[in-house]
Amino acid sequence: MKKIFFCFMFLGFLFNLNSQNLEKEEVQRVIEKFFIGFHEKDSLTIASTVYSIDFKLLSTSTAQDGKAVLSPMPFYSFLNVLLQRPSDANWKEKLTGFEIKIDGKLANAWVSYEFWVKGNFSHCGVNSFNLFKGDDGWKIVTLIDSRRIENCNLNSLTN
Amino acid sequence: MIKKLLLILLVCFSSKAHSQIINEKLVEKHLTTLADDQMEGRKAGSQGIEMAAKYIESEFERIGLDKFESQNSFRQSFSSKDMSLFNVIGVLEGKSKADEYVIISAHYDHLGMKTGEKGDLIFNGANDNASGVSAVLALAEHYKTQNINERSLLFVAFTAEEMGLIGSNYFGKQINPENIIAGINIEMIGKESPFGPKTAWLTGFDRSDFGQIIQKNLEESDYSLYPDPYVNFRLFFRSDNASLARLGVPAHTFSTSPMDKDLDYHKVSDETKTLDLFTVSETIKAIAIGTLSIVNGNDTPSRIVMKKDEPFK
Repeated sequence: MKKIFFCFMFLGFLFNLNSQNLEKEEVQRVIEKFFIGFHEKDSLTIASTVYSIDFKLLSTSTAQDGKAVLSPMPFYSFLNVLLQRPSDANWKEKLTGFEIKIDGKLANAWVSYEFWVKGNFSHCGVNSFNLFKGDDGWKIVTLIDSRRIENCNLNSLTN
Repeated sequence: MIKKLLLILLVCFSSKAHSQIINEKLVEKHLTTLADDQMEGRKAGSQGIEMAAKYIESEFERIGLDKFESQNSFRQSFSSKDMSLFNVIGVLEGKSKADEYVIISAHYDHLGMKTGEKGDLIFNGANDNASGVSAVLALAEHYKTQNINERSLLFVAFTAEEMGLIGSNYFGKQINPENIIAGINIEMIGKESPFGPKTAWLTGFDRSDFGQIIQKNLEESDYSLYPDPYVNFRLFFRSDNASLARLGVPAHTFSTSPMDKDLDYHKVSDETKTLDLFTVSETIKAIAIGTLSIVNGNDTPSRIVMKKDEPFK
């Protein structure tokens, strides 16, 4: 009897693990879709991945005088810049690692990246995403990034 | 103290009264009238469009607009392709910059009727573009009540847009484009935008700084404006703003519709009941807030420069 009980426990554990992994894959897929929109200058694809009413974009950086700066960017400004980018600008944000944590309807994704412009390395950092799972699936609620040029450990030394 | 309180109350009350001019009830009245089956799809040259023009004229009269260039009618009549056509124009003269004009426009014609079939034969054109005309009428009433327009406002319902921007083309030939500060054109604002509720998109966003002025003015509101996401559809060239833009006027079109998913577009099912009155009414309010600094003379958008070989269709 005990054996059967543990068997079920173990199966339940495996099932849980599996569904957690599926959820994580889903979160990663939404974030990757955001960047497909970003690279293809497709604001509709981007809009389909964010929780539009409350979506917040912020950036953290260090100013030249060493001061820490937190700059919010309205979503419309982000799309202005994106759509006005010349088609030969060739921006490439390479995502180099995903760490995703999920609790119920809340997910957090810690995504390291390298930013390349016309084949030249520009900067690196981390995109920290918060996502919410509503009726139409996982949507990005906030995106805060960090930007730096030192300690980038370039994963991809060539473009 | 009591005086102060009274003053505060008065200010609150009056500003509330102003913002209430544009509401779902008013919008619904305009929409249901213009998209009614009686108007038979408002095809340019038809009996149906005559009825639509009469309604717009009667509303301009009720609101208290003036006639364009001291004519005795709100109609700007002309003929084209053997049809007698008419734009409908109402004027609100500017308080201090009367010779600088801002145009607030929408086309009021649509496709007419289908022939030789059973069932619904009428292209009601509720979204396309009774919604835009509703906005023009509501904004006319709003600005008449507010009495804050330092620049002159021309409220224009264009005819024969669906036949190739004929009405706006004719209008463009009758004006001196240098006196036109901006063109605010409104098309299909009856369905929720792909960017979510309380958002709209603007065609030709990067061709002048008009869109950025609107975005700045909307910053304190909970409404936002985005660049047109359907660049491949070339919508900037496909609505009446193009007739003014080609003359250098910063003229753009506001819209909310999800063009890639709208199953009612140019179908007989484009009826008032498929529209979202909240979207229409909130979008009109946002256009009022967004364009205020242009209407009151504080902002002047940059002119549009067309490339020589740029096609217009």
